Amino acid sequence: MGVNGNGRPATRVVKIRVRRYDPETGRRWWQEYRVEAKKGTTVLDALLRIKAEQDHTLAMRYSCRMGACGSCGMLINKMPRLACETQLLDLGTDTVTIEPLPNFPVLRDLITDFGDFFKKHRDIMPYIVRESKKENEEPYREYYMPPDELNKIIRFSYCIMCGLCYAACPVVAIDKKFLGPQALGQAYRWVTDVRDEGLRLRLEKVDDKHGVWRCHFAGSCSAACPKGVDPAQGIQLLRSKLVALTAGARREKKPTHVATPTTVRYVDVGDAPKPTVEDKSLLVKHLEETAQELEQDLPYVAQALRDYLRTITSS
Amino acid sequence: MPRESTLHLLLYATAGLLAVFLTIHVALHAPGLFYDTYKESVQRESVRKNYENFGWALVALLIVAVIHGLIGLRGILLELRQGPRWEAFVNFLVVFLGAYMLGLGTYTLLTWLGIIHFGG
Repeated sequence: MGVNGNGRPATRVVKIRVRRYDPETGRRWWQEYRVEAKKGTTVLDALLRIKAEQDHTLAMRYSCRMGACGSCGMLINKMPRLACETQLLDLGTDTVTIEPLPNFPVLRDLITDFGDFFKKHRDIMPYIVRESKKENEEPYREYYMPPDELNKIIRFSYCIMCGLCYAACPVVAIDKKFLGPQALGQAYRWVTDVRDEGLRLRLEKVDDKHGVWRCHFAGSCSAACPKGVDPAQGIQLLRSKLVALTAGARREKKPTHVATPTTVRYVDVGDAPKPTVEDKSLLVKHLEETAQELEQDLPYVAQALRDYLRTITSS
Repeated sequence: MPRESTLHLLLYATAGLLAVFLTIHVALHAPGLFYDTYKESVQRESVRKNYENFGWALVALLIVAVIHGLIGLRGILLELRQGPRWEAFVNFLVVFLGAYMLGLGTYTLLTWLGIIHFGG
């Protein structure tokens, strides 16, 4: 058995304790599994292996396996994280505890109900609102947005709605009506967007007893965010916007840089680049080799690669 | 109730004013400034003198402290529980407490200054 840079074995058996819940009986319990982990083995890999090889009844939600969809949020070693982005050995503990995300109702095992979370997100109108009814109801062209204006909001646009910030928020834990860091961060993202004209509408939503003012600025939302969105900063900026508007120190920002849809200028970006792998046989060979390498440790990934191979060879 | 942003603007403004009026309040009791010792500063005659000389500052301190404190208390209570009945109760409670504390404080000060006389 090899060792890694820390002198620890490159492969070791990790005890995984999963908090389980059966909605039919109402039973909650801890269940232990043992999984062999090496560098690169994520918590999601381990859970999928447990599901495939040890316990088919274990329920979890996942999709992309690459930190893009935000489906596999869990409380891993008491910290909200994405299971697909968290490597078992990086956690540095021999026992890894996995629980469903707090502040969400649990449906089964590690699956939580995001209904209320998504409702709060919808409440702040996460889309461009225009004063013209026609533009709102029948949008027909895109709006031009200068790069410097995009820079103001791009950080907040990285939100994948994984709910980790919401799970980490101590205010949501006691005030279930609190809009939460995700919705408030997104409210800031949209009121700052120069293409948007719905500032007043959105501020009415967030200027509420359970809105932006309930935030205690614990900052745990920003610490938990896997995309570096920093919702806590968004909330503070939203507050300063509200205070300035209430005090009359700042006038409502008019979107001066916004072109009307009819005057959008399209830039010719040219043709798409040519494929980097022109010889299909090279790609097939590479995929076959990769599938073989992964056969032992990640059989389901190897199987997925073979399925893909079948698709491209049959087309 | 006013809008939440108005209440918070008031919270921030009173926080700034509290810093000013609390400084005056502490200065009135700090040894070596107006009185030689702290014990002397809390004697009946010293307090009366403070009311006569700095009555306006003490009333202002009372007002800003009550407003700041009650807005903060309201926020804490609204976080503890939710629901329309609870929120109505909390709003009533802070208005009632505010009126009571401001009334009592102002009455005490005016009585001490001899502007009004209890029982004729």
